[in-house]
Amino acid sequence: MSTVTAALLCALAYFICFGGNWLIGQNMADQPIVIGPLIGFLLGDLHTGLVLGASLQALFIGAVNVGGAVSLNPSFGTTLAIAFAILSGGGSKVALAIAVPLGLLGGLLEVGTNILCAFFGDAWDKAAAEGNGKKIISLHYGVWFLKYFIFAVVIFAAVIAGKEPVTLFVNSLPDAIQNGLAVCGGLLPAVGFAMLLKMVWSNKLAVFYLLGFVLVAYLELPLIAVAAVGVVLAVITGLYDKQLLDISNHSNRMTTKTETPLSEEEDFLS
Amino acid sequence: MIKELRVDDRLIHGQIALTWPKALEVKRIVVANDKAAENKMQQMSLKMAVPTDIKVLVRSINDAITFFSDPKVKTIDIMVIVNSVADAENLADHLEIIERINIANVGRFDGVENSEKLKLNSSILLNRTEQAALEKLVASKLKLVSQIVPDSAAKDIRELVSSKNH
Repeated sequence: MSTVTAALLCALAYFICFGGNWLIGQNMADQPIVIGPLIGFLLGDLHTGLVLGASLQALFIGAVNVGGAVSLNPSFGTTLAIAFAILSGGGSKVALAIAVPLGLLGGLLEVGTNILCAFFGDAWDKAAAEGNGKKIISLHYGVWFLKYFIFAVVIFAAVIAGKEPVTLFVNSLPDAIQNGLAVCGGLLPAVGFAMLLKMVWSNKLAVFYLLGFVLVAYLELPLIAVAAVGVVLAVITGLYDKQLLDISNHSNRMTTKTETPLSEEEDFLS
Repeated sequence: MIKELRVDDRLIHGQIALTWPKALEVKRIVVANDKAAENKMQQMSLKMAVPTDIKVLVRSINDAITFFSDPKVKTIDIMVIVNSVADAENLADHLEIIERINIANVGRFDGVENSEKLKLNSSILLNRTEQAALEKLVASKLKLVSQIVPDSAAKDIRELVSSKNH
């Protein structure tokens, strides 16, 4: 496969996954675990794509951009890291080493495209004031296309420009550095999970965290088994929560007829 | 106690809904804003913007002052959000249970030309009324900071103001 074909496929896959994620709700198509296997499949190495996609997912799992505050762009880092890993033959060491810096660059690019898209803001207001629904629809899809097309072009150019230097770089690395990268790559998922925990942590979760630790560190269960235990716990808690909700709905129905409902202030303080 | 009185011209948005209740350890947010108190639609969207375990009360500035004067409120930790420094000054003038005032984002959507405003930093733009209100706050003993999200550093407002005056 020529480099140009590979670059085109990467750009297309990125456009579909990253753009698609933001076109239809936020369907998570831009997550490394989705993009990774797709890039791998298109470049003829599904296995590498899947394995690296999973590793990078663990790394980027806590990287959530809230509102306009973009920190990094996981899908950008994943696409290029996996493409370079497969095209240069460098494998996971390359991918894990370059994914985060590339993700940060992608974040910068996203800030740039967001600023560009903001110039269309007035056109939206104007169309809304005119009651021009068609114009709003075309703006919606047009600006969407513009933003993700820019990203796709950048990916295309980056794969073409980056293949040679990355291959040279990988071949010139001494063994000691390569081993160091492999070790660091193993540590990075811990960083990813630490970032995730920082966002979602509550004291109620502590007991599950402990359980996960026991399952992996003492019982040495494989991850698939741990995931299955997680599903069981999720179903149990879900059913229990539904039962509690039913009871509280039922008792509300019984009481509202006789008692005066709480005022908004009282409800707020209760 | 009012753990934090935040000035934010967007009232509740992602930065607030996802990070601040956790950082301040509060489960209750009062939005004190005259316009929002009259607008049922805006109230619905403000309440929709927070996770399910957070309670939101939307009140006008005067009703908020009455509400916070209730002694029951003193024992409960609450975050309050207003969208102007003038509203914050008004609340601070009447209430003594405010732990700190955080002027995060303000003055970007008030319809006044930016050239007529004092720019304290990239997210604090103050028109004349706001400047007068800030002067009163600076003269008070209240803790005044500017901190967008818990991860960013809290900057002292008085230092920002004095560095602008030199």
